[in-house]
Order: sequence, then C-alpha cells, then structure tokens
Amino acid sequence: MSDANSINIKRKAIIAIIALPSVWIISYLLGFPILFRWMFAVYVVVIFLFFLLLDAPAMERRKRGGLSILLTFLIGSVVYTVIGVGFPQYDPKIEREKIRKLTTGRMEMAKIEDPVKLIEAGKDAYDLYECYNCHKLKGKGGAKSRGPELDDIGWESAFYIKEALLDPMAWIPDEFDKPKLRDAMPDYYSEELNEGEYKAVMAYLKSLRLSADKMPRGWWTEPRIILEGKNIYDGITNPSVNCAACHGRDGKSVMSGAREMRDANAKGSEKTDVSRKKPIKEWSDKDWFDAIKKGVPETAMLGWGQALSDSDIWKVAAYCATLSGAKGMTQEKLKAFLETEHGKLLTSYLKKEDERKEKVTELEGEIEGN
Amino acid sequence: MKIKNISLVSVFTSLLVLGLTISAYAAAQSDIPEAEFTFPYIGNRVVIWLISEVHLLFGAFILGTPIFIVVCEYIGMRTKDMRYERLAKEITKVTLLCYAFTVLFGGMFAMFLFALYPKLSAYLLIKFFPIAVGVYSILWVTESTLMYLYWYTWDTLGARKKGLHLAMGIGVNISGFLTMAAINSVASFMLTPPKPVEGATLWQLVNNATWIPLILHRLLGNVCFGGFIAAMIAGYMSIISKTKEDRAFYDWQGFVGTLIGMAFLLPIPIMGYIYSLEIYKYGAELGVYQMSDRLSMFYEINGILTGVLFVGANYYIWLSMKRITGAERFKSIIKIGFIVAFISNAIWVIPRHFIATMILEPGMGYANEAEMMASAELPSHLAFLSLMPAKNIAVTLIILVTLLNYILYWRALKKGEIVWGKIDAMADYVLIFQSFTVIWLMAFMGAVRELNRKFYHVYLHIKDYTVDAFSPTLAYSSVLTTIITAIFFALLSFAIWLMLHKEVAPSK
Ligand code: HEC
Ligand code: HEC
Repeated sequence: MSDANSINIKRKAIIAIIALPSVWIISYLLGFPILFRWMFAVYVVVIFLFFLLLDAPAMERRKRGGLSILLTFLIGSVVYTVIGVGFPQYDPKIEREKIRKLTTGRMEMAKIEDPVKLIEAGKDAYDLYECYNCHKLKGKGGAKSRGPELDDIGWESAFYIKEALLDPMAWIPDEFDKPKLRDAMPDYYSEELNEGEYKAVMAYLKSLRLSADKMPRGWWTEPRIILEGKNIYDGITNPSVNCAACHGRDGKSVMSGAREMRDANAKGSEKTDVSRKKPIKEWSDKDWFDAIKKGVPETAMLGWGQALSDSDIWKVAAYCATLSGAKGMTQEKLKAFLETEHGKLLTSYLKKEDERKEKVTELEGEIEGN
Repeated sequence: MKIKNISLVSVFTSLLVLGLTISAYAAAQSDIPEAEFTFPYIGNRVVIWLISEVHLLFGAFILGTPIFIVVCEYIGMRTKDMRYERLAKEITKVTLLCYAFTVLFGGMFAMFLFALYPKLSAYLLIKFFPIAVGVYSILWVTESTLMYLYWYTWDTLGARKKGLHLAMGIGVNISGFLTMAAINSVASFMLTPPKPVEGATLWQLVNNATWIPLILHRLLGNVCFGGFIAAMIAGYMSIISKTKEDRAFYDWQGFVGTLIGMAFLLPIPIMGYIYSLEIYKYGAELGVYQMSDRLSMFYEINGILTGVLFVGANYYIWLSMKRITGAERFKSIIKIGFIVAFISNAIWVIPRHFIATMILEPGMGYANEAEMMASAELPSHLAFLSLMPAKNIAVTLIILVTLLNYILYWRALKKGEIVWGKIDAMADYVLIFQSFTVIWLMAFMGAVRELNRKFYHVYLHIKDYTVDAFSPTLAYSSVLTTIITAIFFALLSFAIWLMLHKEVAPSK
C-alpha cells in the first residue's frame, strides 16, 4: 500500500470518527428515537466504507474470474438476506392464527352469548379485518387522514354504526368527503363477515365510549347530530317527548318559567341545582346532561332520563346549545352550512331514513347467508 | 448446444403446455375439489412461488432484451458502428436459450398450479379460456417463431435487407409485448377483479383496474432489466476476455447497458407510484396493507436497494471517468454528489416507525405502545420525513445527482480521451452486482403484489385458507428471493457461458 493511500485512509477514518458521534448527537437533539439514530450511524459507516472504495487503487485483473464472480453473488445474497432478516418482523404465528380464526374461529364466535365475551370477540374481529389500518382507536393505528377515530363511536345509534359498516357510502362525514377518502371505507363487509363476527363487531363498536360525562367527541358542532337533536326537541322523533311545547320551537319560551334557551347569559332559577345557577354559556357538558336527564325538581321540567337514551340526551343538548350558541355552533352557522353542498346532502340523507333502514336490513340478510 | 435443438425443445414444450391447458380446461368443467396434497417440507405455496418467479424472471429477460437488441441493431445500422451489431447478436444468442428456459419453467408452473391449486386453476382457466389458450398461445408461438427467424436470417437477410430484418425484430417485440399484456390480465385480475365479477365480460376481466399500470410497470422494468443484463453479460465476458480488443468491446457494452438500464430505472419509481395509486383507488385497504401494514417493510428494502442501484450506477460512472484523461477535476463535485445521494436515500428510507405492522403486536420486542414509540417511532414533529413530499424531494435529488454525473461524464469526454478496455477491473464486478440487485429487487417486489391479496387467490372472490396463505415475514421472503435469484443466475450464467464462451478470441 502506498503512503499516499494510507494517509488518505487515515484522513477518512478521522472524518468518520468525528462524523459518527456528531450525527448521533445531532439526531438525538432533533428528537430522533434510538433506532433512527442507529440507522443514521449505519449510513455514516456505509458512506465511510464507500469513500474508501472510491479512492482505492485500481483493482488488478484476476486470473480466477469465476471465483470473484461467485464472491460477488455471495456478497449480494448475504447482504440482502441480512437486510431482510434484520428489519423488523412480525410473528408469523399471528398470521397463521388469522387463518384459523377465519375458518373455525368465526363459527365459534357465532355461539357466544355472554355480552362481555361478545365484546372481546368483537375486538378480535376488528383486528382480524384490520380496521386499525385506517381507524385510530385508543391512540393506536390509523391516521387522521385515513378514517375517523372510533373511540366515541358507541354513542352513535346502532343503526348508524350498522349503516357505516354495511353501506359506507350512505353517509360520508364532512372531513372525509374528499376524492381519495370518500370511498376508502371497504364496502364488502356484508359479504365478508359472518353472523357471529358481525354481531361481535357491532357489540364492540357499541361499547366504545370515552366518558359518560362528556359530550361525545365532535358532537357539539356536528350538524348531523344537531339536526337529530332538533327532531327530538320538536317532538318529531317521539311525540311524547316535546321540548318545544314549553321551550318553543326556536327556543323562545312559550311557558312562563321555562328556561330561556336563546340567552347564553341568563341565569338559572332558584330551584335548579347549584351548579347550574350560572349562565348557560358557563355550563359544563355534565351540567347539560344532568339538566335534561334529571330535570328540575318541583317544576314543570321533568327528568327525561326515562324517555330518552343517554345518547339522545346528548343529541338534544347539542341542539339546545345552538339556540344560544353556547358551544360554538349557532343557528346562523347551521343555516349557512345547510345551504352548502354537503349540507344539502345531509338534509336528503336524513330524509331518506326509511329507505336506508330497508337497505341495511337487506344487507343484514346477506350476512345471515354468509 | 445447437440453436436448432433449443428451438425444438421450446416448440415441443410449448405444445405440451398447450395440450395440457386444453385438457385441464375440459376437466375444469366439472367440479374440481381442492388439492389434498401438500408438498413435503416446503409447502405448496413455496413451490409455486419459486417456479413462477423463476419463470417470470426469464420472461422479463426474453421480453426486455429484444427491445435492447433491436435498438442496438438500429443504432448500429445508422452509425455503422459494428460494435452495436456484435452486441445485439451476442445477446440474441443468449436470449434464444433463455426462451427455452422460459418455456420450461412456464410449463412447470402451469403443471404445478393445476396439481396444487386445482380449484383456482379451474376458475381462472374457465374465466380466461380464450386468453389462456387462444391469444396467449398464438402470440407465444408468433413471438418465438419470429425470434428464431430473426436469429437465422441475421447474416443472410440481415446483410442485404437490414430494414426488413429490423422489422422482424420489431415484430418480436410487439408480439412479446402483447404476450405479456395477455398474461398480465390474469395476474392483475387476481388482485383487482372488476366489481362485480359475476357477469363481467371477458374484456372487463382483462381490462381491470390494475391491468394497464401493471403492463406499463413491467414494460419499463423489462427494458431496464434488459439493459442491466446486457451490462452483466459484458462484465462476465470482460472477465473471461483475453485480448485488448474484446476487453474494449465489453467495456463499452457495459457502459451502454448500464446507461439504458439507468435511463429506464428513472421513471420506474413514478410508474410504481401510479400503480399503487390505482391499487389504492380500487381498495384503500389494499394500499394501506402495502404501505403501512404487513408489507410496509418490503418498501423499506425497496428503498435501500433502489439506493444501491443508484449509488452503484454512479460509482460505475466514477470508475468510467477515472480512465478519461483530464477528468480528475470533477472528482470533488462527484464526491459531494455521492454524499447527497446517500443522504437522499436515508430520507427515502426513513419509516414512520420501525415495526412491521400498523399497530404493535406481541412478539415484536416491545412491552407496550409507549415503549415502542420511544425507541422506534418518529415523534410528531419529525413525522413529515415519513410522508410523500419528503420522499419525493429525496427521489428527485438522487435522480438529479445521477443526471449530473452523466453530464459531467460527457463534458469530460469532450475534452479528454477515453480508452475502452482500460477501466478498473472492479467495474466488471460492479456490473454483475448491479444486475444481481435489479433481479433480486424485481423478484422481491413481485412478491408484494402477490402478497397484497392476503388470504385470497382472487381478491374477495376465491378464498385461500390453506395453511400457507399467511403473509410471510420479511425474513422468509428475503431468503426465498435470494434462493430464486440464485437459481436464476445459475441458469443464466450457464446460458451465457454456453452461448458465448466461444465469442472471445484466444490470447495472442
Ligand atoms: C381503508 C380504510 C378503512 C378500513 C380498512 C376501515 N375503514 Fe371504516 N372508515 C374509513 C373511512 C375513510 C371512513 C369515513 C367515510 C365513510 O364513512 O365511509 C370510515 C367510517 C367508518 C365508520 C363511521 C365512523 C363515523 O364516525 O361516521 C365506522 C363505524 C367504521 N368506519 C368502522 C370500520 C370497521 C368496523 C372496520 C373494519 C371491519 C373499518 N371501518 C375498516 C376507512 C376505513
Ligand atoms: C312541560 C314543559 C317542559 C317541557 C316539555 C320541557 N321543559 Fe325544560 N324546562 C321547563 C321549565 C319550566 C324549566 C325551568 C325550570 C326551573 O325553574 O329551573 C325548564 C328548564 C330546562 C332547562 C334548564 C334546566 C336548569 O337546570 O336550569 C333545560 C336545559 C331544559 N329545560 C331542556 C329541556 C329539554 C331538552 C326538553 C325536552 C326533552 C325540555 N326541557 C322539555 C319546562 C319544560
């Protein structure tokens, strides 16, 4: 080896020895986790070796070319195989188990009666069909840009969830109404799931709720929910629940003493719970819920806990809040939204409820045959 | 071996396969049960995987090289540079033997498929009967006949009526292209059958969502493949060359092959992107399964190997420039280019997280999500590095560096002088290594398309619940890919040696 060459190598080695910790420290400071730092370190070493190769003296012609050719293949084979083996893997057992679940497992699922076990089985089916690839749930999987987070989906009506699963194009939430996303949700679950899996997934989805005391995520401002709440409030959904009879169609009280819904600053009455004496705009989610569920004792405001499901109470609360704008959504904004394209879609979607129910029933019929 | 014998073997096997296919079609009319038989030790899937992939690699060979050959013949005719003519002829000889290999493995593939997956074979055969038997075999026979004619008339017709001979070569390519298009219909159908598949016309089955993207992707891939193979043959031949003239010739061939290989490598990432987009549009869950879930680490390796190809090609230019007088002045700028290329590649490869699936599973070495995120997932302020815009910039940079190096090469050529044959002996091995990389990568990524279907033979229509329908791990697929590549190279090296070892002149 010539002197010039060895000096050259020394110089490169010094650069590499400086570069290695520098890259490590800089990437640490930038916040790269350890595996990424390792990856960068490997790159530095590879660059170093490569630069040695660049300035290496020209190779002599070999007599035994065949051996060198073999060696070339060997290097390629070993390096690529090692890379393949070295990168993160998954346990093939899990994949094999999937096949079992798709054959015998799904039959077992159909026999489960216990509701708790059914929910567990539903989680299994959820994983089996890789719903997590698009939906974030409990902080895992998905991405905001791929599908809605499902943590709070259990507050939706069973019908809504069924429809989302079996006929996903029926309704596309506003933020997913984009070319690449609107038809992303697979539309074949009515063909793929069997009855057991379907029941289990539904039970699982229905069980997903973040908190009993909080308005389900996004509902304060979600027009679809607010319009459903309006129907309850107006007595359309169930004539025996008619808030409008006392509070007025647009929140302008028609009964003396009934809470003025349009004024976010109005204070509560003497009789109401202490926590709700403050102006409506300061109410917590829980205050809204209790007000409707429990009512105000000794007044005409009964508790509606018997007549309305918890989920319906949240819906009607979301509507009531728009009358004063206490939670961000106002009547004006809602009207403006309903004039937009998506708003018109929403109106016609809600109108077609009977038709949609029929379709979902039909698709559920398909599942029975799977 | 005499080329006549080779052609006889090809024709005979083709007829055999055709006969077999027709009888299988007849049998398929009755209800065929699933195969009871499982291949000992390795399982049915691996058998099919191995045979079909080797068949496919030879298929790519005999589709890619004729394009390369005809282009060379044409350039040779226009420039009167006899080296192009010699290059085209020699590669044609190897291609002829590879035809026989293609047919042999194709026949084996068909037989094993019928034997091991009869239900699927019957389904496909009935759906695609006119394509499988009519179009495919007519095209195949046309293509191989033309190819042998092309070879046999090279010195007779080729000497007098070059244009006609060239036209025959173009005919080979057209029928080759159509053959590929025909068989791609089945391959793409299995992943993206039209919706609904019942009642779809034959044309709808053929022209399914990913048919055209697959054709284009493979077409580019095959030309690129042809270029790198020509370069590899050059490497082999240069190693066994004994005279200065031969060495000069093969040195030059290596350069031309690499140039074409690289030129067609550049658009392949873009084509791949369009292809995945089409898959995503067909079924977002398929796209996600590829890009973020169980197949995501395949893309990591794809990134690394593509990087190797780019760096390898630039290293080859570096070696080529070393023998041009006066090219030293470009040294430091090329070196900076290498650093840029490496950094771009690192960015290209950075994943969102270093786990093989979308969510953490047992057996991945982390106790819980938080632990995994702390060591293996990009924090949100760095997540942009794993997204498309960052990748696009990285790919663009690496392509620019390559282009720049070629420009520098030509600038150096203008001023200095090149002595063909005096290249660093290392270059031969670089050429061989490059083609090894291309082929390994092709075999590896081909598997991704197949694995994308998960536990279906035909996505959402024909289920595959056999024991080996699971998605194999990266390690498993890499080992298998290495074996496949080794088989292919062993056969190919044999073909090159057999057909060409007499082409080099004895030492003086
Ligand atoms: C390829 C991505 C993808 C996969 C896989 C996927 N989804 Fe979805 N999902 C979406 C998208 C996008 C939406 C929003 C558009 C829509 O409603 O169609 C959605 C909507 C939903 C909704 C309605 C959510 C809401 O707030 O309105 C539910 C429920 C749902 N999916 C459940 C599932 C279940 C259960 C699975 C697995 C069996 C699954 N999804 C698999 C993409 C996906
Ligand atoms: C029979 C008449 C009547 C009906 C029907 C009625 N309310 Fe009331 N509501 C009242 C009266 C009266 C009050 C005032 C009670 C008080 O003095 O604090 C009131 C108060 C309220 C308050 C404020 C409670 C508080 O703690 O300050 C809310 C919120 C409310 N109603 C919502 C509803 C909703 C929602 C419905 C329909 C499900 C409904 N009401 C139906 C009469 C009615």
